[in-house]
Amino acid sequence: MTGLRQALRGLGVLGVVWAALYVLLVTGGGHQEQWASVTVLKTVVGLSFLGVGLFVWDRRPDNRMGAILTAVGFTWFLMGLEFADTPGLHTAGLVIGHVSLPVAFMLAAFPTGHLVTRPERLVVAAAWVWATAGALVTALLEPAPAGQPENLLAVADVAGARTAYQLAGSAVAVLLVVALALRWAGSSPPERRELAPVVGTGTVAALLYALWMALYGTDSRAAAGQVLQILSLVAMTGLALAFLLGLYRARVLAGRAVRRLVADLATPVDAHGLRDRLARALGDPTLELLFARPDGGWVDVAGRATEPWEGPARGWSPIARDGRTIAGIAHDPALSRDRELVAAVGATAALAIENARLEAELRARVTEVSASRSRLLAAADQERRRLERNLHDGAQQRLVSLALRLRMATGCVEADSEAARFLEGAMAELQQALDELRELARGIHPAVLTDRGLPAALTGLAGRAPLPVDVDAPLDERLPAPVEAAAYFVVAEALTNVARYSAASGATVRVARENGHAVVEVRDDGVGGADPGRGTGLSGLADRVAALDGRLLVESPPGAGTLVRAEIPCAS
Amino acid sequence: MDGVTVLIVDDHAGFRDTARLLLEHGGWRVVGEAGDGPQALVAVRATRPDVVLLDVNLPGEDGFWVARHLAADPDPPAVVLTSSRDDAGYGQLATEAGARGFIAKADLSVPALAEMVAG
Repeated sequence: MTGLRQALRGLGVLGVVWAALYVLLVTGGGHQEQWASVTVLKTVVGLSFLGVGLFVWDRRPDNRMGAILTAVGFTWFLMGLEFADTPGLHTAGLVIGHVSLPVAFMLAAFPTGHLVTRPERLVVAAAWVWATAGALVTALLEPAPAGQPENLLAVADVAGARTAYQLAGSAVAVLLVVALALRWAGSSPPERRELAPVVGTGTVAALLYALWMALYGTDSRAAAGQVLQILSLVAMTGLALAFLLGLYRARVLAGRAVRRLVADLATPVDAHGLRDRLARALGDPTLELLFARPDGGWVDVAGRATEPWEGPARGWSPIARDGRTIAGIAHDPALSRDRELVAAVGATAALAIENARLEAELRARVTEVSASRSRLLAAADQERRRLERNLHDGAQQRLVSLALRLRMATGCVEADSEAARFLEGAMAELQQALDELRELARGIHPAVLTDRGLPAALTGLAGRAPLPVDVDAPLDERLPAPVEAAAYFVVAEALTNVARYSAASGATVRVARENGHAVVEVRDDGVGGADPGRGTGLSGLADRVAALDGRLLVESPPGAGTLVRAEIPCAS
Repeated sequence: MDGVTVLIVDDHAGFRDTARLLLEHGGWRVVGEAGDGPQALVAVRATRPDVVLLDVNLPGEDGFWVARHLAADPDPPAVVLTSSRDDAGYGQLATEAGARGFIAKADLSVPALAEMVAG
């Protein structure tokens, strides 16, 4: 048994002896009557505070509420002194008999044991002044009435001194109710949940006490006063139990929250959904869920990098799985006192959190892969443009110059001569080389696409096709360069296939913007039956289109022509 | 049409040499050369040629830009655009820019140019 627990047991025994002394004083004194039921209730109230105080002190040694509640219990029985027939004890009772009241006002310090708000500190200070200085002054100004033991302190006889003292006590109790109301108004939902039992019963007890003091006070003979006092005492007993409930409600709640969360997590949820369910389980709408990244950083449910922080205004509870911190909950500071609740909910959610974390990681990786694919495509397109420009600026220019010079040379030699025939042969070869070079450059990147846009480039394609091709591309403005390039190459490849395999008599090309997409269609009236998986070059184009988050469809029923359709996202 | 004065605008020195040879061989007089758009405008205003043979693909501002500027002059020369890219639909763009027309570099000859300038 720990030293603390031994000491607390000792205090408990002392408390019981102390309560017994109280009962002896009240029943032994002959000058003042008190209903037996009132005596029993007062004993119960004192012992309740003592018991609850010692229990809390034992279980939560770091929380001052245990000591405060124990002190309420001990000081409570001082009110028995007034019943003593001995003038010394009786006078002491008049002065210190009510100090349990300011101690009880420490309920305003619930749940931390520290008074936080200014109104609360003022009310407790006022209660102390009333119970000590107020009681002393009243004792000085009010000699004992007939039949009572002598008041050793009385130096004057001021009518109404006691009434004033009682009204002041009543007023202090009302002020406490006001301070509690202010505290309630400024509390978050989790804080209110914690405060509710204590503030509720405390308010009822304080109001009943104020009413009793204002109407009857210490006049124990009035039956109505006794009844009011009994009600007030019942509320006080409830208050002691409310402290217990307030401090241990977390355990009760934890079971309920965990059951609810288990039911909630039966269906898979994403990171946002998981946050919402945790917020509901813990009753904290401000709750934030953060995921630990393998590199030590943190991300929120949207995948944004962030940093957890803890302070007076924000609580932080890490969640571990297999000894590794996988996530954390930033929450209302009131939940920091409900470690059991947060830990139980965290453990319950750990598996779902792990899943959500993996999902978030996967999503981030997919996004990254998709972005890098787009970057690769853009880099490849840029390289193609550079190659085409180099061909145009280099070889093509020189060959064209050469062709012109050969033509001039032809003009200088005699027609039908051997030299003329040689030159003509060379020019034909050169023209062939130029045509092939032009075709190669166009396949790498069509300059007309960059210079004049998609409709002009498609018209050019259609013009070079070996069959009639209608182009319908009513675009008001240029599409993004990667979209134009993808659309161009889709049409180029599709028209090549039409010419090679379809035996079509004609084809149509259509380009349009539909629902935020650039839609490209190439349709022919040929034999159909094209297999997109066959080496038609379409699969490479499907990759190009997919790199832009688009898709390529091929419809080619046998005997009913072929439709190649690309849909590429394209914000207008 | 002997003695027609012409300015050659092209960023490739090799092609300028060939064009000069070709045009002078055909009896025209080359009064200047320029390698880019702004140089071309200065040279035209300095030499007042009858014809400007203007490459489309110039560094910076392209041939169409030069053609539009020249067309705005009070007494503009006849501008003929040319390029080794002959499949880009430049003909229509050339007339829209105020030029007489477009000739592919491979088809360049004095008779072809003369016909376009006269037409």
